[in-house]
Amino acid sequence: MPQRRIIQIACIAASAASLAAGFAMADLWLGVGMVAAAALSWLGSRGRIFRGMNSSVLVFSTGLAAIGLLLGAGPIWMILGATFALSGWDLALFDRSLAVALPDHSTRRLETRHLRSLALALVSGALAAIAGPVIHFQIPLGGMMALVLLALFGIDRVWRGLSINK
Amino acid sequence: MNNRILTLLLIISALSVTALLARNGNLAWMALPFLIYLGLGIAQSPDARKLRLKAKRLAELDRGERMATIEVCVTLTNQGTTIDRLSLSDPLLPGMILTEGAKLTQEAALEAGEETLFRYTFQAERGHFNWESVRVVVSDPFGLIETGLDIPAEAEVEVQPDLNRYRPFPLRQQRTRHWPGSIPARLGGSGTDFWGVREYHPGDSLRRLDWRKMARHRGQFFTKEFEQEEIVDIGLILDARLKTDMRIGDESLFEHSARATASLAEVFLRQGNRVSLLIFGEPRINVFPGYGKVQLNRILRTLAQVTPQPASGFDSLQQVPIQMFSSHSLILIVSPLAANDWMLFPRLRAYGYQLLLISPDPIDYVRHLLEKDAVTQLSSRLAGLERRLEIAKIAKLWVPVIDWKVSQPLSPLVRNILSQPHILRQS
Repeated sequence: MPQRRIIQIACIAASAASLAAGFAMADLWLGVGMVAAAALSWLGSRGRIFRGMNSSVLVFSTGLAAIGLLLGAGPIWMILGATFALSGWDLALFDRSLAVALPDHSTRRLETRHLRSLALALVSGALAAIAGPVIHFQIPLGGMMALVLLALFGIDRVWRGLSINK
Repeated sequence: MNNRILTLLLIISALSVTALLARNGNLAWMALPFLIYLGLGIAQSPDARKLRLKAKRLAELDRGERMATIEVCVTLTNQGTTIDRLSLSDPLLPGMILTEGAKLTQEAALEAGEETLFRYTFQAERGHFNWESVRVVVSDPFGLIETGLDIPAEAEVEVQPDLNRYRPFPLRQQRTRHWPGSIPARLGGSGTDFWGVREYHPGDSLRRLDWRKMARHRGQFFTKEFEQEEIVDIGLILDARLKTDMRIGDESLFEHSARATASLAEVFLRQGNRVSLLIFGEPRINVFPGYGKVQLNRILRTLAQVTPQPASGFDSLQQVPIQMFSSHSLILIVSPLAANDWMLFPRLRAYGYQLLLISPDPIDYVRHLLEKDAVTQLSSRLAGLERRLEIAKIAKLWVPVIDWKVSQPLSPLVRNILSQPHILRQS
């Protein structure tokens, strides 16, 4: 079994486990049942019952995590569950695009690069999301304005980049 | 913008809006991994201006017994910056049957100056395959921001129809062209078969004097004549209308017609005759009369490119332009026939052509697929009756008809008709 598929299954299991743990700790047993349904949907999405099933399952899992947060489940578990679901979704789509590729040097390199980028994005994202609520600092108005301008500039660059690529 | 970005934007915006409405900061923090994932994808997306890709395509044809196997190999070289992810793809052209395991897309990652190989194999019975470019989609590692490029990579492969090598047909034409050939011309001259004896004319070769007859008739001279062997003008009309074609999966009735036409052209040209071809379909294609291997190649090239297309206007056989066939030539029409197609034949008869209709049977072709229920059986009987009626109308004009079940070999049927000159003569 290729490395990407093993990691994908591990991510889906971790997502289900995190969400289930969060719901169980908050005594939301219906949520645990829903998590089991989400895990089964992930398994079903490997058979591709309909087009866009992976994306639907991601939306379902993230929605479940959001509901858990609103109902008082542990935020760390829910954030981890959503993050692992995102990685499972990404790897499912990646695996599909490499479905018939021969395990040659080029494919292995593509896989390594993808996994590295994914790890970078998700580890930093999850850490920031978990650490974010506990870090408190105040920004003066001038600094806030500068940040807003920077964000606008960034959006402009992204938009221009998208237009050029089109 | 592809579906992946849309999914991420949907989740991010839904989480943000819910966080604002519920005044729940944790929900906003949950959107952060999605935002970072999206941001990293956008940051790593390649700059279209810095892409320098070059492609070279090779297509190799291996002719099998019935199907040809074509191996396509595209070499893509990256002459620009490193590309984290790219996808190469080719379209599925009509007539291509991909071999097991072959796929028309391939993913790769390319360092600067590196090259990758995109290879696939397909089979084809007949056809003209022409590629001008290869589709390359370059993206970030997550496949979020995609840039599509068509990199020139030209190649062309032609799969000519498979030929059945028929033995030469014994043609006995009423009219022949007065050029030396292999068909007995019903004229005295310098052939090999004895034709008759006539009075000696000054200039006749002494070797051809009939000494026995001269011995019986003292003082008179006689010359032996031999039957001249000349060539025949043959016109082939192939029906390529979509409405007369029948498809079963990858196979079609038209393939049988095309193969029969190619095989007939080959045997007639091998016999030294002048052969022309008219493909009646959309568009109409003419191959004007000619001889030899060059003409055979011309006909096979034309047949390789034909596919039945829906008609845009006049699509009855009545509209066949017959001016390209010289008068009194033998015309073979290969057509499964549609309603009212018989009306072509009186016109051809009026022009003095000798005719032979080869009609592949579409009902027999699909019979094994038909359901056994009463309605289907009745419909098939009615279609069969309609076809028989059409054939009967043509046969009434003394046009010989071969009702060809394509599972049977065609050669003996054609030989049977052509070896009975009176049948053609009546026509």
